[in-house]
Amino acid sequence: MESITNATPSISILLVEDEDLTRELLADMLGKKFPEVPLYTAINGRTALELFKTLTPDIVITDVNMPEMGGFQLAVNIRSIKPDTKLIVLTGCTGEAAMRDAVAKDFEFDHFIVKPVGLQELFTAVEQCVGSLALKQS
Amino acid sequence: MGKEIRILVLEDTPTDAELQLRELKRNGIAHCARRVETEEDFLRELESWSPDLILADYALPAFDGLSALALARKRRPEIPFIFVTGTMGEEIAIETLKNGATDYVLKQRLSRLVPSVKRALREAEDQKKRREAEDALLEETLERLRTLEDLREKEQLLIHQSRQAAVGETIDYIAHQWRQPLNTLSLFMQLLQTTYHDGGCSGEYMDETVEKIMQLIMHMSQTIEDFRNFSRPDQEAKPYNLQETVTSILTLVGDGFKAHNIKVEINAEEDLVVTGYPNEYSQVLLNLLNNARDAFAERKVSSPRVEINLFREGERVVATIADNAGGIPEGISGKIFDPYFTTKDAAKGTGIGLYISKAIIEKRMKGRISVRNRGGGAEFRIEV
Repeated sequence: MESITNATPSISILLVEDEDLTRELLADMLGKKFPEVPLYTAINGRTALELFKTLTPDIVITDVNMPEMGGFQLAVNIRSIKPDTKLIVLTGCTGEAAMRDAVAKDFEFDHFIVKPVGLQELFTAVEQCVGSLALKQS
Repeated sequence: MGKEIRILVLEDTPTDAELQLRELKRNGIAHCARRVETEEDFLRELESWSPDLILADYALPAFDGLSALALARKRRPEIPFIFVTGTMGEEIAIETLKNGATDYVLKQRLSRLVPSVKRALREAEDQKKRREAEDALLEETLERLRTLEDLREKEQLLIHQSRQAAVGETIDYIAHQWRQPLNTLSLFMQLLQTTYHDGGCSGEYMDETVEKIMQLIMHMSQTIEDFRNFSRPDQEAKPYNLQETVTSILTLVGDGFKAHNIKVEINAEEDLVVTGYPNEYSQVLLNLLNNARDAFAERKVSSPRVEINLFREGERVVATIADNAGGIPEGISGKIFDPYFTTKDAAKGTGIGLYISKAIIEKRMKGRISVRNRGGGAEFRIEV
């Protein structure tokens, strides 16, 4: 972990989740796991998109059902701005294929994580994203 | 008389019988007759031959007229019974009439026989028609009762199906209600574990975390309790606050609606107290809300919205539930409250939600439910 963050100092994460407690807990744990990585949070897709435009984070972890703008719409917007953004979706639904169809047939998310979120799974997903970003940057 | 009538003659003197029948024939009463003298023969002919008229002597060697009258009245009360007799005192005559004889004619004044017979036959005919009409009426009434019974059975079945459908919906809503706290719970547990391994798990931290976890668990427990209360039918009518009822049903469906980005707005007057069945009323609301939700999804409405208004109007308390899902298509608004009428897929819609809703509001609560299209959607109106 140390080596990853050292090698990729420019990487940052945006966490989008509308439920306050969940967002705080996730932010807390991500912060503990990746202390070197700047972490931003947003309460829905709309504020997340605003933040994205100014901060251009490399990894976006987002909930699906949120007021004002949901996770899928956010994902589509983000990819149109910065196509190589890593997208991790946290979802309550289990049908991944149906979820893909909900956005677009050829739309690729980097990771689907089904709620209740297992931290190890989330951390692994983040590490994989970081790893592949580092590979590109080097 | 058009057709030939059957006359049973109880007479021991054949010539007397002959005289009577000739009198009738002479006056155009076409007939066929059988003469009997004994109780045994009388009974047999009465039962098996089914005469249209009985002419009986009063005094016979082997039988008597009064006994014959009693038998005839008991077995075949509809057949007119005329005494034709040589002597009959005033008192006996009155007695026979009291016992159910149609008339009496003295043998020495046989000219009275024809009008008497004609009148008796006419009366019998009238009575027959009346009886037939009564029978028809009875049959019709029975038929209606049977139809009602059928309907009631059908309705029972529908109510049962609607409860099952409601249970299905309930599970769906509980799933939505629980997904979030379950996720949060799991995060708390994992955080607790991580903190412990990192050595940062103080007693104080543990207490704080467990308290938060318990709050979540209590909340989840309350959710199922609320659904359980709601799915139980009310036994007796009782007063309830309409706004509280509507608010609690909105809490139940809240997360399910949020998942579909449906906004719900409620405007209520103060102190709207209604006497009735709050859980049934909630079931109706749930039906309407579910229909709105399904319509939003089916028509892909971009900013789905439900507006609920609660207000008093004269003696009644009115709830309007309006959506912006495009309204009810022309031509089906008259049918939407019919049983088994649905616009949804077979897998989704049973076509009984609105039918049951109408039964609950109009039959059980003596209110009224109606619908109209307004402002880009459907507006349901419930008066109780």
